[in-house]
Amino acid sequence: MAEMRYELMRPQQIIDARDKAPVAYVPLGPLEWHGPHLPFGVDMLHAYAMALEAARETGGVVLPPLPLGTETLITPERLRDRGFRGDERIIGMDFPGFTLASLYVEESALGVIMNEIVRALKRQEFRVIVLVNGHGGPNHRAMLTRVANEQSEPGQVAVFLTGALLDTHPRGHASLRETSYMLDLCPESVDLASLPPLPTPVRTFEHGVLDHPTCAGEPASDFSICPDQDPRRATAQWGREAMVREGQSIAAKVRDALANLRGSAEASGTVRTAAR
Amino acid sequence: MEEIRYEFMRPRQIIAGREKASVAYIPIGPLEWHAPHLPYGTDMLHAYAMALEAARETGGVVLPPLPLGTETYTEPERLRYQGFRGDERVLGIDFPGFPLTSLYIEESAFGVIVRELVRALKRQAFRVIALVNGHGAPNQRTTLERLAMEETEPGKVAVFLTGFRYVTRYRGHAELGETSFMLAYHPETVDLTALPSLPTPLRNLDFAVLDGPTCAGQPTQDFTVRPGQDPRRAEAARGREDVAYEAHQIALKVQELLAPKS
Repeated sequence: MAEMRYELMRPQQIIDARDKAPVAYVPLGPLEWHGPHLPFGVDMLHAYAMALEAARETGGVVLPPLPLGTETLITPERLRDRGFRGDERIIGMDFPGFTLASLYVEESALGVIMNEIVRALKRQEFRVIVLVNGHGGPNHRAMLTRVANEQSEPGQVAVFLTGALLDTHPRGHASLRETSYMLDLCPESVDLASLPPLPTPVRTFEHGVLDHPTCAGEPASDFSICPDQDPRRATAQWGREAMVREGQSIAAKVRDALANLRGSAEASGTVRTAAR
Repeated sequence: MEEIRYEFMRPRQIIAGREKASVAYIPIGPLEWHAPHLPYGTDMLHAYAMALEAARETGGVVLPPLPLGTETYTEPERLRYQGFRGDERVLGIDFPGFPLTSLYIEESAFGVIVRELVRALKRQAFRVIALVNGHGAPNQRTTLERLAMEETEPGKVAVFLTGFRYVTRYRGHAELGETSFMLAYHPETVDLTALPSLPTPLRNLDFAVLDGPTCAGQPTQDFTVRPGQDPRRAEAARGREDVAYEAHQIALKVQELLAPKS
């Protein structure tokens, strides 16, 4: 298969890939606490894996993952959903008592960086630019949505946000879904023994593990993880199948975006060629 | 071998790495034109290789490479060294006529991002933070030097800039040194046939291959690359030796900063 990892491509390879499918994927995710059992890079590694999966279908190039993401203070309502009183000051996943803080960066500077990268890719004449995000922080996603909207030029260039919460299911943090990704991508980075053994409940505020109902505002009464999203039940196969689905979902959006550009017949035709 | 790549480490592993050696490496380099024969990621890949090898000597953690870098307009004097008239507007290595531009980003936002990472690592109680830079742009280095100085807390936290131009034995661009590195670490990315064959001279302006003396203000009369720094003479063995040397120099500095003061 032709090289698609941008950092390993020479100028002519980038041009050839762009001429086949003018798509550039920009994966990103912060270095962040993901429970005691997962590594700090889950979000960026997952974003990169989704981007590579999609690019295998569509062609184009994949930038190296940006190990960056932003967070802000959690609202009182969301704090209560996680088992807190509601008057604590908590940024993202950095719950009180955790042994390490996450490496979040300032939202506005990250916004400028994303704008700069997108503009540079536009100067290189990429026409579909996909921000493949691995992080669920509301302000992080809002910033990326804004950048995508501002940088899109209808008919000329499509910039859009994909990944976390858009192409992934169920919602959650460091739960079965993210644990399964890591068991597939890098099993040696997962240590389920660092969680209490089954059937001891895993409580959200103790480990920073969140399930879908908690993220949707309907936590369990004891703030524990529901059994079907328990990270201790994760499997590499679940992770692999989910990432293939996510890559396909993103690739379908890319094909739509290409089809909606002016001169789309040529572009979509070449994507079909790349897929073969 | 113990894991040193931060993105693959669980909290307890990061803490164990820090307690063994309280040093965090941040490798940095932009996605940038490196002539037709080298890939765009040369600077970040070089920074990452230096950081990983240094960390193998010292312990500590290595952040994933930050694929970011900044540039600004080249001043008239430097333009003339490279073979231009001196009144052109050339941003970094994006010479007129090249088919692709580089992915440089704005200097001030770049500085804020690096500062944010440094502050976060200080919150994680790392005492030495090494900014391992693969990119030679003057404003990139001044930005990182300023941050290192501002974020250093004497006696508590040392932040320092290292990497290209600090520990490297070469200072050119896409020449023998960088090409040897890529041949050693990512040989499949190098295509020397994308350059004219030897002995055709390589003109600076044609490919943005710059030798060390040119970067230091001493170009050849015809603005071609000196034979001793010609990328077509690159060798993987030299690339490996260079990185071993560079990493050892970085490790020595880190060990000096970590050593208890008498």
